[in-house]
Amino acid sequence: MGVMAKSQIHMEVNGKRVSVEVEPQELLVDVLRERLGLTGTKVGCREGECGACSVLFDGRVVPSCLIPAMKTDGREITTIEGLEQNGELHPLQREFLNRGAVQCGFCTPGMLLSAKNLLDENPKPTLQQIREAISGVLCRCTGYQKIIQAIQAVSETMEGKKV
Amino acid sequence: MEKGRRKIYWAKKLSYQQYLQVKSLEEALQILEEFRGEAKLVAGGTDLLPQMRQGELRVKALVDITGIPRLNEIRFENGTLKIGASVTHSRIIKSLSVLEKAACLWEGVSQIGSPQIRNIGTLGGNICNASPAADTVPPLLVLEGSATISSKQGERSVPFASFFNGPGQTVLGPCEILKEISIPEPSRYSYTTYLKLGRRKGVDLGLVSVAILLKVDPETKVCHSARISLGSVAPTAIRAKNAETLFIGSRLSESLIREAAKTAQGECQPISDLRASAQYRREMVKVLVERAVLQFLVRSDGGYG
Repeated sequence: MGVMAKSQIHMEVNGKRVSVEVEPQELLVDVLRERLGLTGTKVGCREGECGACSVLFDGRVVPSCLIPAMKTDGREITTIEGLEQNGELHPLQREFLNRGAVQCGFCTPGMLLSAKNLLDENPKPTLQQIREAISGVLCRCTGYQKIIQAIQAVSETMEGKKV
Repeated sequence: MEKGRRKIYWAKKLSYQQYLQVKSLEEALQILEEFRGEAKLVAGGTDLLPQMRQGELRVKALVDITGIPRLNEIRFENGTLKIGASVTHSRIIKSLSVLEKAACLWEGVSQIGSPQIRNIGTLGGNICNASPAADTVPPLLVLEGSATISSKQGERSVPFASFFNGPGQTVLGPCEILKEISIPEPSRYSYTTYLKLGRRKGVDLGLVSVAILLKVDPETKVCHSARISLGSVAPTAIRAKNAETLFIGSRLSESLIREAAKTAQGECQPISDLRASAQYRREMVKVLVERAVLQFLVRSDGGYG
């Protein structure tokens, strides 16, 4: 049993099909950063507590440090690099910029993807629901207020439509 | 995500050698048998992977059971709510039948970790991790739920009251799988609630938690059944049976509620750790039991206003 069988996985990352050969212990976050060069996904705690590595897994926000890469075979992953469309920033990204909802930037990808997941499921969230949605992403610059305001602003301009 | 000692440095590579994704219960049972205790089941991995990274757990293989269709079902049949072990917390929160028939479990699940964690973490995983602070366990105790356990020899059913042996320890043998969680529908006029006290609202383990089920006759106001369970104040979640007894056959009153809350305090054995002192936990048991009964009054809307 000592053989570490590598396996070929096929997944759709940011709309593109990719194939990677992975070891059983490899985690999604490392495949994204080190094999695919998508370093927008950050590594913080590696324990699912800080949310810096959040990605969308079949549309739902998850900590990519807790997902063995083999589990992503045949699945869809969206990282922060996949949020812009045709060179246009996503409305959430634009609003984060407009309001200065970014300080050091380390939590920003996780914040944006959590917000995207929230607005996809609930285009008109309450303040409480916004707070809840980003509760799994830690910002140590204490910048939550502007982040919340940015998400609220996008939700208002969307007027219930999908973004 | 219960922690013992914390290591500052984490190993980048996890220690298992195989990650096996199974499609059926039979396949999973076969693998457990072959590995003779050197394989561990994994669903969301939200507790397991951090434990492996901290070197607390070493196994040769992880067996991912999230692809087994039967373990991913929520259904209600013959007066019993049945939830597959690998149903995620997020799916439970979206289930109207869980909210209607097991409100305290719904409330417990809603307070686990973060949305990220709830999107992958599962009910079976929260149970089998057997943390004294598990948010699903006090609710399952007052709902008198039971575990359906599968092995190659067949199935057995174990009430959650006798499922846990201590922190991180359950009755599950190395070749057994928790397949399903069964919850009998509470009878008419009974209401449940779950309250958790943490240091903050999001992403925290409970310092103390309380689940209650009360059934009060709306006419006579006499309490017919009372179940109270406490989390994070003993090696496993416990029932406060002496406090429960006080309610049965009595009418709810302020003095009764206060006495029962004090009695519940006497039934727990909290420890002091980095999150709270034993003394504080004991004090909060009283507060939360009182609060839970008041919540019942609001919820049952039984003319107590």
